Amino acid sequence: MGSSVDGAKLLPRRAKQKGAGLFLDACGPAIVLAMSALTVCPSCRRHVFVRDEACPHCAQPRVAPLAALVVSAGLGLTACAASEAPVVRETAPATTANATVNIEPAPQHEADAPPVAVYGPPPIEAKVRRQDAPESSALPSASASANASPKTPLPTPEPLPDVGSGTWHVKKGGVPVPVYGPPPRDPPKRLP
Amino acid sequence: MSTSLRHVVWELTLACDLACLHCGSRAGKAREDELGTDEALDVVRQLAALGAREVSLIGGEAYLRADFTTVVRAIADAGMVCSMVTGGRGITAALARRMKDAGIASVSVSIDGIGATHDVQRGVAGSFDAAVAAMTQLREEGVAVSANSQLNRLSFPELDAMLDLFLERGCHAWQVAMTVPMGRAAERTDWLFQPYDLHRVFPKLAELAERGRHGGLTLYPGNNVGYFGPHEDALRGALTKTGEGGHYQGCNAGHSTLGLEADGAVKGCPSLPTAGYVGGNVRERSLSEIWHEAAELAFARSDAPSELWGECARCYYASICKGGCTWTAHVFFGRRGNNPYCHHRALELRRRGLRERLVRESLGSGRPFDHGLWRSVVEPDDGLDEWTPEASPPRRRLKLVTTAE
Repeated sequence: MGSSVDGAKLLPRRAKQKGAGLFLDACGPAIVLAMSALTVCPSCRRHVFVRDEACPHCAQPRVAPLAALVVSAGLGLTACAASEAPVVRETAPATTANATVNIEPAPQHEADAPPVAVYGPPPIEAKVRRQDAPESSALPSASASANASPKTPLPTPEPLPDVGSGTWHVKKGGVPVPVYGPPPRDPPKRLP
Repeated sequence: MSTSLRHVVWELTLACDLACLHCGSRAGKAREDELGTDEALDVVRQLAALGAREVSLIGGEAYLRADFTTVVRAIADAGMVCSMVTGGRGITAALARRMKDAGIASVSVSIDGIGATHDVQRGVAGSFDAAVAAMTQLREEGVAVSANSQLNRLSFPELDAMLDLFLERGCHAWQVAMTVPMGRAAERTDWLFQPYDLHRVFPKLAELAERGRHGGLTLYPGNNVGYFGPHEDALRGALTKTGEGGHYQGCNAGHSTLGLEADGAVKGCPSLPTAGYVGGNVRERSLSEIWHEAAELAFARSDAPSELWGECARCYYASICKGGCTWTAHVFFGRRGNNPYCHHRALELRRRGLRERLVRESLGSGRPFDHGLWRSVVEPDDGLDEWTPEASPPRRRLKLVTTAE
């Protein structure tokens, strides 16, 4: 994972000259630098694991760091920087339900559309039409579509350990059932 | 992550001359058996031997101890950077001069709003004016000055004005942290952010960071200002040498930081509850033994994300973030590993048409560092926000302390 680097060395010079005393909470900025497992997508600026070939947030293909260096050196490899890459007009394969990075295959009539990122950019319009809550809070898995013909298979991410999701249904119109937190035991204590 | 002590946050005393309504440690009276001067100086020696580079003195209010500047001088003489976090109410020109002479390097003054907004949170009328005056006194004595603020529904509407103030007062840094329900803050439910408020909070923080940078001030997101949203690079990446790419790396408690309570109890982080997180007492064991051997300080040293649960367990960033700030998760849910104050999480829920709301179920014991229990409710996000910055909770009529003590 990310290597630890002395945070003090990374402070802005002015801050260093004026001494530290910047870390109110004990931890101090837990900031990681070079050789991190994460990199920044040049398209959406979200952090992406270097092992991922596409950004899970905006679906832009990602360029490996070495390739980016070679390109910038002017050697003209075919791999382009992600921000300059043409839109990938192909569908992605189904992945397992446990995948943390998943790109849903486009419906057949949108076969030319770019792959839809699982995370995606946040919606601009905050108001969301009230609708039945999903049966499960798990990420939508890419159902195996007979029409999906992957050309560039994506690696299957390592699954997270199963620590239990404690998922319950959130019922429309009724009292929401807690998804997280300790299960209700006694009625809440009355406030004085 | 390496385990190498760098930063110590030391509650020198729990005595305090403010009455902050969001105080997690319920500061006010000194603890029953706080370390004496000789014991404190021995702690300084042990910290230096352990390789600590910086010691931040907090409270309560550290300057209320008669030996305050003695401890400051010992820290500086031992080759460590000595800093302080203060409410500033009692910092006069004379005290600022003594602090400078003793070797204090930097002082962070706590300011949670402008004027009455600050006074309400600090529980003392006139505390805002006192804090601003403290900044002036310290700067005039040549002490580097920074600011720190609570992020909550009261302070949020005034963040721009606060930045203007800090720039005008020559602050070189501004650290912000979310108010969480520990201690007295647990009784202020209407002050606390709901997770869906983060959709407003983070764009504003990024904007403040950019504006501050232009003015020579660095905005530091506290470790419970989480995580991995679209502004992570703007907030944390900007703090790296290259100016980009940096990100939150997980709880640092017991990694590079250590917290000391005034009676000698040792934790991995000063914010953590006493119960369950104290690894020992300097009166009974050496600091080195506690640091290297106490299980209560070692929980964050493992790379295994096995303690994650709820939404954090299935998060894309789980292996790096590991549930974010342990303190925040624990004071909400009574256990670490699931942190509701996360921008990425709020965005993910919104993408699914959902939002998370936190409901208090019980209060704490009433002792320092206590907390209650909350329930997380995930419900349809119908876009109807219960709070807007323009409708901050009305300031309560409080019986504020108005006479000098």
